[in-house]
Amino acid sequence: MRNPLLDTNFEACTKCTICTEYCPVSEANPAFAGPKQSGPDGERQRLRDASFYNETLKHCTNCKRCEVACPSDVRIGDVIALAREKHAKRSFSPRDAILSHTDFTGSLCSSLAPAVNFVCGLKPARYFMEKFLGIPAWRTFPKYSWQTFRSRWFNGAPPQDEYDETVSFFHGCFANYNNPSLGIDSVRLLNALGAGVRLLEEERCCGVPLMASGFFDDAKKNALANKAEIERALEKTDKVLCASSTCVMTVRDEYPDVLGVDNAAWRDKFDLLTRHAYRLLERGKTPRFKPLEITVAYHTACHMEKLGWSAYSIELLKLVPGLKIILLPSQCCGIAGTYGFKRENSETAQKIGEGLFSDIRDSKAELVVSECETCKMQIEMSAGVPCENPVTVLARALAG
Amino acid sequence: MRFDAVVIGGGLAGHAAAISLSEAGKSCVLISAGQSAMHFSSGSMDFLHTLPDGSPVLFPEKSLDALTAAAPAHPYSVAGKERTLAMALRAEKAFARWGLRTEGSLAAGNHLRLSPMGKFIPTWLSFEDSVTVPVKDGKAVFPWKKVAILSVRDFLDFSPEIAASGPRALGAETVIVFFTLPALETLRANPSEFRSINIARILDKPEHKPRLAEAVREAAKGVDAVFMPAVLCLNRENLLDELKTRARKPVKLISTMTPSLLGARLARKLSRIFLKNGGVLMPKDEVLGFEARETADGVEIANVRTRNHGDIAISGKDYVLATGSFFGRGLVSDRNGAREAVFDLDLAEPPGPRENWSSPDFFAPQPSSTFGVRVDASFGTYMKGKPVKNLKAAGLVIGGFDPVREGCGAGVSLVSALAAADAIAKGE
Ligand SMILES: Cc1cc2nc3c(=O)[nH]c(=O)nc-3n(C[C@H](O)[C@H](O)[C@H](O)COP(=O)(O)OP(=O)(O)OC[C@H]3O[C@@H](n4cnc5c(N)ncnc54)[C@H](O)[C@@H]3O)c2cc1C
Ligand code: SF4
Ligand code: SF4
Repeated sequence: MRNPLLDTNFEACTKCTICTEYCPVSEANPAFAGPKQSGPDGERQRLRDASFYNETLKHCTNCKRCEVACPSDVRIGDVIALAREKHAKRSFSPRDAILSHTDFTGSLCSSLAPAVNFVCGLKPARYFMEKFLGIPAWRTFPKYSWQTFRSRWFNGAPPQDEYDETVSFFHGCFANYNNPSLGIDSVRLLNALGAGVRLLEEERCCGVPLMASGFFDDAKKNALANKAEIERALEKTDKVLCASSTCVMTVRDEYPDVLGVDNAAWRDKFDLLTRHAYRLLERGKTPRFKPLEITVAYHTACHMEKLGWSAYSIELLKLVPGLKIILLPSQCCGIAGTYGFKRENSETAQKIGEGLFSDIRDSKAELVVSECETCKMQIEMSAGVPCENPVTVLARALAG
Repeated sequence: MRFDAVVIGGGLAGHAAAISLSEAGKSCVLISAGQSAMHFSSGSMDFLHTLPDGSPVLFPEKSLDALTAAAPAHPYSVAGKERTLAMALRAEKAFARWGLRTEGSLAAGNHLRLSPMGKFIPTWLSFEDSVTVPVKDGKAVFPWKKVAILSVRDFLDFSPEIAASGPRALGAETVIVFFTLPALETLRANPSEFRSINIARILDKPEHKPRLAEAVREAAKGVDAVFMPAVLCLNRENLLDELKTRARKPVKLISTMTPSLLGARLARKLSRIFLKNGGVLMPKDEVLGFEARETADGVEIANVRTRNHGDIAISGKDYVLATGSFFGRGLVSDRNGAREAVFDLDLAEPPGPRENWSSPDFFAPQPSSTFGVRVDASFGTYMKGKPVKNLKAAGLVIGGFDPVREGCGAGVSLVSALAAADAIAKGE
């Protein structure tokens, strides 16, 4: 069998420690040994003797900033994730199960949305969550939507067959359960660029929260189910697009590299929505935008940094008349998916984000723009500035 | 994706070019395959400290004619004295404008920086907070009688004894003192991670300032200055000013073994400046291919393809190649010789068979370190003998000089980057 660890290039490490310099967790939490020690150095030891595995590896948020910095192309985040997969003790935690099984939690919460949103805002409920689930009381919880994006779609989406081309849309959990308007905005933007939209027959969570909590088997099941659906969708359309940076990074890179799910046949066809929007623009589609006289600050989410595709969103936003765009230095916001929702991490999460929050406040921007949904939650809570996906900003600026 | 200018390579040269272009109002993208040599550099920038015949240089301005005579293929010689000096002056002004607090100038001649090996090395620009001494009548003038070297206990990337040999050789008395903080103990649990940057993350925190200031004040008693390894002031540069005020004595930094905090700090600042100017950064992306067209009088680059952007090409009116030498992977070597990795540009000196690459005498100039692309006076490049009209080269990817031996790496990088940006802005 292929050993994915051998493909991580960890032997190429020159021990320069540049990765550690860029690791937001090792900066905020000295208990984490950092990417070099937890990744390539640790792996050499673990190969000799598995008892070298140590539980501090779970502090890694898999933000991948170490990989972006490494001059030797070592896939440090993957080394750490694979080591956790191989060695970590499995212990069941109801909190981790709730946070990570977003399909289950999402559909349950959506069907009870008003009640859940109400209860989650109540002090005793917050106390309960902190005490029993280990979710800190002050942490703002995503609001669940009464109607999922899918149910809205199947109850009256505008016709999609009058366009030059059709693309498939992978909405992801957040757009479905928490922020259906992102799904709707995605469709509006694609329509304005001359592309009709269809959904996958069925969609599972990409699996990233499952991996973060150590549920690698469940993540792999989701990956295999999504793979089958994506392959079916690609029989009818050339592209499957998604507006969330984390889902895109996971399906394209983590499926083969961490979960061992082969996507070579269609990896390039699973794409970030703004990237394909840019492609449509280059093909001559020109949506009309009305002026939007606001200042926005663009935040590069960790997985956007890894994908390297911020430029598409930025170039698209530049088309909106009146919009002033400030580019924030790329830093981790600290939330790292479900990481910051866990009590043991929340202090670290806030410390990691401090630099970003103060840059946001200093920028005086009225809105932060980012492709990541958990960055949105973290930034809105901690910097006190609303945060939206660029797709939403673009869709709202569409004329007519 | 279309830009006015596409800069390939994010080292000192690429950043300097990209920032200058963005200042000139060009929309600019900086594509970089990974962190650069800045993280390994001392943080001081050399212009020229040794001529090819081995004689030391005190006033680089005055030595340029001798350099041109001895090394006509050197980028300074190719660009010409006037342009070289104008761009160096422009770099000095740019550093001040970008808020990089450096001292030194070509007008004043080289000064000396104290290396962690206890050597005083002639250089052009140093950060204000590092240990430097002036040269007078060809001699180093060490302004202090007695200095304390204050290091962190168990920090292995810096030896105070070895560093102290420098000041001692110039007749100063030295005392060596160590300190630690409770917060450093957690870090020490992991000796392989007890490195400059990790330590600075702790020492820079406001809550540790009182104890740090106390340690510095203690060390400052009875001496004229306190020298510390560069393990602080990564994110808080004014920390040193505060320590200086408390100790009422100069407090200065000496660079350590890698990772180099002063170099890393420079890298971060340059990226921030570029972003602030509205530049687009593409970190961890690599130019893999390109399309070019032949014109009546040369070649023109149409676009480049990168690893992350796949089918979407990146095109610019102008391009700057700043991919470094073998170390930065701008040059690659195989059995047939060396070549420039992205465009296969013409090299300054044909490398010839591999046997001739390295001289058997270890201390003799090594031909391989002078490899690099051929440029014209405004750093334009050549492909199969034809000029590439919209591609300039900057930094260590250029051939004809030996950055280590001649001590001119940063100088060539800055001069070529600013000259390339200048030529592009003027439409040359
Ligand atoms: C170890 C070391 C120590 C040094 N110390 C000093 C010193 O103390 N003082 C001094 O004056 N000078 C020093 N120098 C030289 C000085 O640092 C260099 O002149 C300066 O860093 C400029 O280099 P550069 O920008 O040309 O290349 P580099 O710094 O090598 O940067 C090249 C960049 O290009 C990127 N790249 C390469 N190929 C591609 C591609 N295909 N696509 C996209 N990106 C690509 C690389 O990832 C890298 O980021 C040192 C150099 C080295 C190597
Ligand atoms: S940055 Fe890469 S090469 Fe350097 S220590 Fe980290 S893993 Fe190793
Ligand atoms: S993935 Fe992020 S948190 Fe994990 S080691 Fe790398 S930089 Fe640190």
